[in-house]
Amino acid sequence: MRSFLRSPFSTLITLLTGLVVLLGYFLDIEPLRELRFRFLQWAVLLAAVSLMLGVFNLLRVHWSRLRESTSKALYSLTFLGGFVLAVLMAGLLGIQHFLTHAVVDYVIVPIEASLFVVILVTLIYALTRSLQNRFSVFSLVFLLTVLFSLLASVPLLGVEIPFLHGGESIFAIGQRVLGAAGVRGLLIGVALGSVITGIRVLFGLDRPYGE
Amino acid sequence: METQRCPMCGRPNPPELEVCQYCQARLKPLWAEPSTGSSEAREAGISKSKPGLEPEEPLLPDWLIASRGQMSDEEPPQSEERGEDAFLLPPEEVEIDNFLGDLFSDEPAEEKEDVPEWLQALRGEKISEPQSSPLSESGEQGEPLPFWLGLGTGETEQAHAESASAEEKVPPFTESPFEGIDFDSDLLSLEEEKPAEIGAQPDIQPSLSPFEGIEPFLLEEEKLLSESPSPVEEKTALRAEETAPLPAEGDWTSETPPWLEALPGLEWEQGEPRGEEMPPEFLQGVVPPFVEADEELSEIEFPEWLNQVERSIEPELEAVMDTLTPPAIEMLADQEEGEIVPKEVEESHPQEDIPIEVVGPLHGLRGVLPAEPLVAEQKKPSKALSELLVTDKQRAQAELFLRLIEEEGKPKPIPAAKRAKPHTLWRALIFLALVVAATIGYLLAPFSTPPQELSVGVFDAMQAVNQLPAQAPVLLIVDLEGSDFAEMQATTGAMLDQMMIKGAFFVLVSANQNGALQADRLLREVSRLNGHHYQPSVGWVNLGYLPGGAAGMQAFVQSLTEVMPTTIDGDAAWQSDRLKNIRTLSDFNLVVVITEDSTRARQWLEQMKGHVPVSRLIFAVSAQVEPILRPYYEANPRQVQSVLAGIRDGAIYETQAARRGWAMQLWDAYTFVVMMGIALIFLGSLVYALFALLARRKGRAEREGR
Repeated sequence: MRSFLRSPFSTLITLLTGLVVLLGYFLDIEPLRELRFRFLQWAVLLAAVSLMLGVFNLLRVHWSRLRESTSKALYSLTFLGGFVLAVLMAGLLGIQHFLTHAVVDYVIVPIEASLFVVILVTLIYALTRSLQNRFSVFSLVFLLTVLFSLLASVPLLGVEIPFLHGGESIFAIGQRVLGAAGVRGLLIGVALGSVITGIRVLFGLDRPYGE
Repeated sequence: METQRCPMCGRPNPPELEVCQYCQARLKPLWAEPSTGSSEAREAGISKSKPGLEPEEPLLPDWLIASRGQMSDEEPPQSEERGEDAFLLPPEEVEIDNFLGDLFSDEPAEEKEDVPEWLQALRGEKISEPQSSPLSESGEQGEPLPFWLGLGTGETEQAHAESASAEEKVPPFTESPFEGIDFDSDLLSLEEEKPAEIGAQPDIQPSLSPFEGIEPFLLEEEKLLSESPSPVEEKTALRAEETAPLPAEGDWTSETPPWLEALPGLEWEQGEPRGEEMPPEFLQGVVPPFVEADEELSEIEFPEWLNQVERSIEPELEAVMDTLTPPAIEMLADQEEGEIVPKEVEESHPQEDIPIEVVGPLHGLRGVLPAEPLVAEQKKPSKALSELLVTDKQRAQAELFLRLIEEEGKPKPIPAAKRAKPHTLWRALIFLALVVAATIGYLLAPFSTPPQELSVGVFDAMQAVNQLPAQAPVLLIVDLEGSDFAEMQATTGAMLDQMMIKGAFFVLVSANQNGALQADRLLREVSRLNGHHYQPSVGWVNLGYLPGGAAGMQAFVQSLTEVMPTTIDGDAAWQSDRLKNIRTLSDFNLVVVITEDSTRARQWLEQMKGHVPVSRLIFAVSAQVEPILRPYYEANPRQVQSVLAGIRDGAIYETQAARRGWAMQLWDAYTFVVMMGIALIFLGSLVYALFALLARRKGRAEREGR
């Protein structure tokens, strides 16, 4: 199968489909538009199937861990139990059932929020120790930028400082100018990278489908 | 009465006694010291005692040695005096004298037996009678002697007197006295006299062939040897060489012995000026005669060109001398010492140390085959060969270069990675501080006033919502995770509340696996908090998860009815009365993208470009996504109608809408948590920075102390 995917046939399929989709962006021709839409639909279906394959692979890994009785078997057992429970509730009862709502409201959201708080604590801890690990000018600049950003985001006990808070404050102007400039640079870089990657795939230089 | 005094006790003893009658010390030595001034006797002793001939030593016949021994016997007082003096010598010299006495003794040496027969034949000795007295042999055989060495005949006293006078008159020769002598003619004259003498003595034992007993390969040279002068001739010539240069003290500079006057070549020596030596005939006319001058070198006038060369070299020599450093001078001194060393080495190997061959055809010859130490002896290498003449600066640079090379090859130790200590206590304190701040802010609300300033994004969003018609379909793209649900609920709560007030019908779709559930929960929470009675299928339709990422978004914006034809419950989504007119995205009155992911926000914005009017597109995002969307929002023309970012914009929206919602409830807690975070970061950074400075100062002090 792998050799088949690496064969010129697979490269030819990639080249043709890519060219059709690309031409569909620029040429408003009905057959081309229709063909392009079909290709995109197939891509959505393949992505869904790949998602299902990923879920099955995850189940297989945890099932094998459970059979081998390793030290992580308890985690695998918890995962398999939660998966079966979620599928049964969402599949049989539907997402509008109160049990499903309860699972979302009291399990999924609190757990994810707790993990987010852990990240918050870790970030604050890392910031406090940044100067100890690397006491340099860049560390100081980064630390001061974080502090001023946080100060400008909320009023200090309900009191807004004129030059720090508000749409015309120094921080807002700096955020609009410096922040927007930086983000524009990032977006241009992302766009160029996307174009180059697409061209390489279209010309067969990159074959991510064969790996 | 003559007495002899004991050298030990000093008492007189009768002359005939050999041992002192008082102290029993020996009065007479065991051997008689030959006369020190008698060079003939010394040579005779050497020739007898030495086992072989040396190349440089004269070949003395036995009869000559015997005649000299007889001469030495005629001078007993000298020997006795020498023997008496030997007792007064220190022991070391006595030992030396004893050793030399063995050499000078007239007794036949045992070493003589070691001389091979062929060598004896070469010497002209009798092989059959090796121990016979040479004197008797010479007397019996009547072997002719030179006219100036007729000591063995009756002319002994006369010859002795002549020799004594010669010793007084003959000067020490600085040059060879036989220079200019034509030995061939002289020896020929002697050869003519020889048959007559031999005929006059018929009883003489015929001499053996000198090559008798010689190895056959040496006999092959007999023909050549027969043509060479006979041993007698050689002896005669050697005798002339031996006796002539004997010096004697006296006023010899003014007198010349008669025999020396008769020698040919003297005329040449006297006739030729001393300082001028003519070159050979073939060089005459080409090379000027050599003039030996007594002038000093400095007194000689050199040619002008040579003086110019000397003057041109002098500054360079002075410059070189100025540049010489003490190490260089020391090195040159060592070099001179190195040149002296060979002389010392040569002196350390006197003639006595040169070994004598004891076996083989070279038996008895000295120094013919150098011994291994002599061959292997090497000259001490000069330091100039092993050390370069370098200056101090060059030496320092060379040392630095060598040090760099050595350090380059040494492996540098890999510093152990510092593993940060898990400051669990500090982390727990941070968590507790944040929890306390959030709790106090939530319980003390309303503590602080909400932000009053209306931002541009909130204004545009409120304008778009206010333009919504009643019962308008609104597409809600919800890409949320549970961790950001609270923030996004606070951000969009007031806006969704305004839409619900207008009776908007929501179509929910999500490109996130968890988004469909979060979207359903969001609408339920907003409806519950704001007192609406929005229910699924009546108030909204959930299309579920849109797979495919950017490709799925592109397909969805092209034909949403075909890509997502059913709801999450499996019902036909687009068959209801509220959605039967919806075919494309532009058919929605408003499209709101709610996400906390900057990538998904960018992808949605890029994929929907051209399919949704800008005036109908609103992004409600987390505060961290706002910088990514701000360029699209501030572009000209803008690509999005409005961007609501974070709890602050939600609180402003609620304030402007005059409805206290979820954002206002979280605002105080949010403010307290942010302020607590600022305080923790500031204080923690200050403390750890002090720790870092102290550690750096400590490390610097340790390095300086080391």
